[in-house]
Amino acid sequence: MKYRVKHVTRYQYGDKVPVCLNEVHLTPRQNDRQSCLKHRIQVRPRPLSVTNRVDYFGNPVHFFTVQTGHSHLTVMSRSLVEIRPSTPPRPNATPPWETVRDGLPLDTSSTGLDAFQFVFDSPCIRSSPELAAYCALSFRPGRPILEAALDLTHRIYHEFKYQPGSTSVNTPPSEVLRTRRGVCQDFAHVQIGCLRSLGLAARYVSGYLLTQPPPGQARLMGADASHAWLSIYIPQHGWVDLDPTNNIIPSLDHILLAWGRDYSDVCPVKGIFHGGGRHSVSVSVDVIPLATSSAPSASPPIPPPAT
Amino acid sequence: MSVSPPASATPVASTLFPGYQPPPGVYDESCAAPAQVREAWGKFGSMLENVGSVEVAHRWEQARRMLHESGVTYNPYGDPEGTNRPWELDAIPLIVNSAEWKQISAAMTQRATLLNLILGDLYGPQRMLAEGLVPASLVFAHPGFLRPCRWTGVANNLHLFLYAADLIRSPNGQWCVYADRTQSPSGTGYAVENRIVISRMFPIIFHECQVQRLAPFFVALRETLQSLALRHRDNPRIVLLTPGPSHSTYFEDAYLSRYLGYSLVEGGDLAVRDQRVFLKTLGGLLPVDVILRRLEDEDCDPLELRGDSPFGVPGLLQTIRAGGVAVANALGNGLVETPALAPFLPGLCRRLLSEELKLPSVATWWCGQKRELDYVLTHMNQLVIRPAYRRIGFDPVHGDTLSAAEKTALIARIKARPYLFVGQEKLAMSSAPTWDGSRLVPHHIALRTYAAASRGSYVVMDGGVARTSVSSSPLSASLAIDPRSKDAWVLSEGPVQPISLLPPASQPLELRRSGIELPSRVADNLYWLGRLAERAEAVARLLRTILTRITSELDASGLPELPVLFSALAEQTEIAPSLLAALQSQGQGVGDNLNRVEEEVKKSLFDGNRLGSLRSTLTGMHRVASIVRDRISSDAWRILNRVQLEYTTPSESGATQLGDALSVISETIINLAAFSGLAMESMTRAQGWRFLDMGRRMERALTMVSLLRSSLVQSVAKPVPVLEAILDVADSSMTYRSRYLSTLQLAPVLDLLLTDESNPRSVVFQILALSNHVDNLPRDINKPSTSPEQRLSLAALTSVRLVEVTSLCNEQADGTRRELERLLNRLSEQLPKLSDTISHRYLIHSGPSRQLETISVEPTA
Repeated sequence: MKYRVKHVTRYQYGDKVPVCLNEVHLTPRQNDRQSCLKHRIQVRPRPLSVTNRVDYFGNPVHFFTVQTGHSHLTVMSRSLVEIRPSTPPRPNATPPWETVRDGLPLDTSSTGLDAFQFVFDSPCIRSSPELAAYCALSFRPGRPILEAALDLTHRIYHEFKYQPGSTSVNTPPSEVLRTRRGVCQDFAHVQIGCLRSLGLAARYVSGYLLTQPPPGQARLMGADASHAWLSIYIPQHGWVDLDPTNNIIPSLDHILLAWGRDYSDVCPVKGIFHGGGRHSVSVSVDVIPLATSSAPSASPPIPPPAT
Repeated sequence: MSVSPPASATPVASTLFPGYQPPPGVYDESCAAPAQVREAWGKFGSMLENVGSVEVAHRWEQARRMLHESGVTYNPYGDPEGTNRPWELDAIPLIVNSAEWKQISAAMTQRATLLNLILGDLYGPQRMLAEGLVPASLVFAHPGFLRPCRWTGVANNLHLFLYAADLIRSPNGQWCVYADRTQSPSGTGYAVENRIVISRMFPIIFHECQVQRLAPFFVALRETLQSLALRHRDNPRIVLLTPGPSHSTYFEDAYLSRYLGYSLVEGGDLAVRDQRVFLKTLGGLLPVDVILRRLEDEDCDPLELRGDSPFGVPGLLQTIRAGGVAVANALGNGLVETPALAPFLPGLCRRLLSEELKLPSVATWWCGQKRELDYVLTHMNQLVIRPAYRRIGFDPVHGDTLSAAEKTALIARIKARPYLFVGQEKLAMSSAPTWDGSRLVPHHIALRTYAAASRGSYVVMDGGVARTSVSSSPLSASLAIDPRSKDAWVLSEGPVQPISLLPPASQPLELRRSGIELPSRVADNLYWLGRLAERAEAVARLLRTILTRITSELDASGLPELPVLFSALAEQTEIAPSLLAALQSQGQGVGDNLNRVEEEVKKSLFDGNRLGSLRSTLTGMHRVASIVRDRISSDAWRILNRVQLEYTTPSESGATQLGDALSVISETIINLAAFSGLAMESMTRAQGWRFLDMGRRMERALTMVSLLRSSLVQSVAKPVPVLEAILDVADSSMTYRSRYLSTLQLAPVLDLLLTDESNPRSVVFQILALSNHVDNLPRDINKPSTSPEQRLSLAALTSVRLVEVTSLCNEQADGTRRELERLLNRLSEQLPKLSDTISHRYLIHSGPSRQLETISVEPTA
């Protein structure tokens, strides 16, 4: 499946800003399921220089400085990506979650170490007894890890209310757990916090989601948005994606940008500026599927837990 | 090999020490037993004996005054209001013999080398984790493990440029490391300051005891810092980056920058442009090669590290990666400050250096491991429980001081996240004699020692900062808890060569006419220092003039100048409008209002909360001065401290007599004059002086204009006392009398105070000086036309120069001098505009930096 993605961020300032420094995570990263065929970042006004590097988690990052006075700043990222379907293991064939938990600290292979770092607290996510207690309802003793994790995803989907504006980027997962409302980023943080509270490894994934227009209607430009979900580490199988906002295992509709411990590691656009007065921001994302042999197929929803 | 005490203790005859009782159960630094002085202390003890306790007490008083006057402070809580505590120093140094020091020194070098290697690995290939030398969880759970700092590339592979260890000595005489400081260890500046004070106090003893010097350490430190420069190797621009005056160690930052000869800068003074770091100065941006940072790791770069940090330099980390600047210490060093690492150091030392660890750490159990956790939970009463990482909101506690409930709560907390805690052995620290004013008494001590990288290894400071504690528990050796310190003397085996930080005489110096660059922020503060100093003087003079009148023997009812003086005072500070109206309707004298007048005068003098009162102006002045104290000569600083001290004292009694107030004001005026005199005579005519003087001239012009406007625009029935009072306020009576004898008239007074270019108190004199300064400010030479501030100062100058003094004296029918009023109004518009223009162009380069609004990720509905 191939997609063209256009992601535009516009900042508008009350007063002129003489200098702005930025770090952006806007380049889709590659892995065994995704190739980034073309990618381009355009910044207006033109920055003096753009440097790119790979961050601690292996994500591509661009760094640029705009040094001409400006009253608005536009960052446009365009990519062409190809996605292959996910092949998650059979949930009931995965090892008991306690086995995974106990094995993580002992595995000093590079894959094992890489996974182990996602067990610990991170800037936005602190594990807590409350998160552990919420999680424990799904993680019954001896239950296969993926089965339990899917059950947790399912519960978050059903028990939390999706409500834009109810949280900010700084809302801690413990509060989201209390209010039971938020957006995709909050749900990803909550599930990550739950898993880590049990000693499991979970990471935050930032990306895009293809939206299907209602039947008979044309696709609206700019109607898509950034999306966030999470991955859980299962030894032997590797990382398995989970999307608690949509109650699915991401496959062909989810386009990967970057992963990290939480939102703060992979924030799409980050910047520091001087002056500028009041400022506002607008974002538009377009995910356009390219005609291919096979029609885009939505992932099946995660079935209700077998109790 | 371990560091152990000297074997023998020679009894030395002494009468100061016999009274000294070392506490039982601990190692005493000076005495092996009561009256049995250790060898290293022998000479010191007997020489101190010769000085005698009376003389010691006398010298100690002098030394304390010196510390106080030079304003050595320590701001323990980082209070922005500047509740600086004076730095407390003990008169008696801690003495360490040379053999023992050699061992400590070798151990410090080893430990610094080891920690540097560990940092290099953990911020690079992380082989230690793969090999299991350190549990990965210790690193991954560490909030100070800054992911963006991995693979940044560190100049000369030197992560740990400056290292400090807090050492304590256990009862068996063994030194051990209580804490490692690897981000930006504080205290080296205090070590120098302590040494200066104590060596002056005991010059002969200091010389005879053959105490090793501190300077070689700083020579090495400077040399290494210079070698870190990626460009301009011969003459790199090195700056000391401080979190600013609100931070606890600002005094030391300012002191060190001056001692080492580097510019003291705050984050806002630096700018990242095109992968380089620049210093914003009046003359423009100057490239910076090396930054000696005094910020915590996370505060250094708000773009990539802590977004809400107000101190750092956005883009710094990316500039380091691009090789645009070198920063010492490297960012992320906080990783190895954790006590959790202590149990792994012996193994790491064997593995990485093939040596045994020379200096043990205080025995530590990290709860991140199962067995250690169990040990800590079962032995809590014998242990101190400490946080493994800073900023986790937990203060060290002694297990045995907890109630059963507290203990249960703590155990639950540890079990929830064991890797956040360590248990540490409780050690009784050694004791050493301290001076309590008349005799020697024992106090427990910890010693902070320093190592600086030098030529592939480390140089250890032969000395350090010893800190005392009243409690016998193994204190949390933080400066914030007990700021009392001691100089540390390391004895030499032979004569000590004097060494200076100045380059050797043989090396010819390039002649320079300007010193280190002036950051815009510093210029701004100097400008305001000038304004506040002048404002203080103006209000003091005005109050003195008022006071001499109401306290004189003359009948207070016959004072026609009083309403005029009060309305002038109302321009400077808040005066109750009702009183002002009452005085004005009275026409002359105070009438029934004497009590209220006295009350208002008192408040204008001593009320720190009243805007524009002498006290609040002096406080503001002192605060601004403390921000730029690295630019002020130590004598000038001493005067400022004296003003502040003398002035604030009487108000605390509450019952201040106005008669006493008069002498206090006069003293203040003299001190302020001394400050201006010193500034004139000891500052080179560089940009710093220019801004200080511009501030003074601007303020003086503004106050004079406002004084003339409130007193002379409206004619009064009895003009003579008014004119006399104004000449008094303007300190121009003497000049007037020498010209016109005792005949007081309006025209000559106006000429003297407004248009006389030879009177340093006249308005035109100030404007002339301002216009001269403005012409000499740095500007773009490609723009030959006159600048806006030049045009403004010229306009103001012309306004005054073109007036005809006699026509200013003309009165309208209603008694208003319209032309005078028009001129003064025009000036009071032009002058503030000039001030704003200067500020905008030179002083306010940019506001504080802000974060872009972060975007919440919202999915499609």
